[in-house]
Amino acid sequence: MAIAMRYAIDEHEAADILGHSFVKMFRSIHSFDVSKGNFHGWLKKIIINESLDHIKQRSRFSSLELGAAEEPFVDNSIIEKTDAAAILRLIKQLPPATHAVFVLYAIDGYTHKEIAAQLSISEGTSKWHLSEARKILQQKLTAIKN
Amino acid sequence: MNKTTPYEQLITAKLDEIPVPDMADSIWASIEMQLDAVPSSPDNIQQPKKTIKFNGKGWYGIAGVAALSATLWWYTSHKEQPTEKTTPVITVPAPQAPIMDSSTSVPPPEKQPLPLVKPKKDTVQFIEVAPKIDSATHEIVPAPKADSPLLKYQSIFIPPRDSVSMPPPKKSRGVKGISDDDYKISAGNKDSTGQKPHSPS
Repeated sequence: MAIAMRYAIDEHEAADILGHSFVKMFRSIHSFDVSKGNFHGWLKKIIINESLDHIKQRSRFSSLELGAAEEPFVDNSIIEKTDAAAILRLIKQLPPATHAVFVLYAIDGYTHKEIAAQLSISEGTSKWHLSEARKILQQKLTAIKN
Repeated sequence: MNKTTPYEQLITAKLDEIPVPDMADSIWASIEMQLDAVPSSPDNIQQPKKTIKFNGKGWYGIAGVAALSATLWWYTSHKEQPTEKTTPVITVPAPQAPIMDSSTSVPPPEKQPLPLVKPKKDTVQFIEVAPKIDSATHEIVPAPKADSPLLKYQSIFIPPRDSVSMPPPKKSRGVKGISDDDYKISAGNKDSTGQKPHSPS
């Protein structure tokens, strides 16, 4: 449920994602191969794929290329002091595509190549969305500090 | 850009602490509802596939039958046309009164039963082949007399009934000028052996 909530807009969409993911899991349980990975990783992948399907339905991924971008600085103390729910709300305020790329890369550990393949975009577009997400989050976290 | 920043790692750790809303019952209910619909769906999906496959082959069969029937129809229709053309339509040439002098009047041909061509049911029309005789000529030409010398030429002017069924004229046999009487042995002509021997005196 926690995985679905990172990508969903609200709790209801997260529940919908989780329900569809479990149905997919039950339908394809015979194709699960223990030698390829553990069950938790397999189920997590199903939930993330279902979440991305929902994001694709409600948003468009335009092709954007990243130029030279500076990495924004964020004070860690601000994040430590901020409530987890508030941080999640900040992340959900990002544009849908930027939100998806940020969660995939920063939280779930996907590479730009994997993100590009999952969202049918180029790696440059994925990098642009990540840079855009970091900029927006820095501005919002700085606003919380002040 | 290719590495996660420290604050992102902190965010990840924070997000794991987020309490999950208690929606387990509603989620399981929706899962159960979707799974109950699953057993009927594979059958519903497979049946159209089967029908599509059957229809695809069926269309080929129907097209083949249609092509075969069209070919047969074309063949039979082209085969019947020559028979229609060769249907014998008996047309007896209308006898015409020979143009002759008024002195040598030709008697009209004897009235014969008119040949009627039996019409076929659909294609051949009923043709009444009645010799058209000029009414004026018919009236003018007198009836033949029994002792008229022209009677011997009557057979010339009688139209043949059927040119196809007329037997060819018989060829005369034997040598001309020799009749059957020439081969008879008369009693008067005795053999030379039956003659009386001449006296030596």
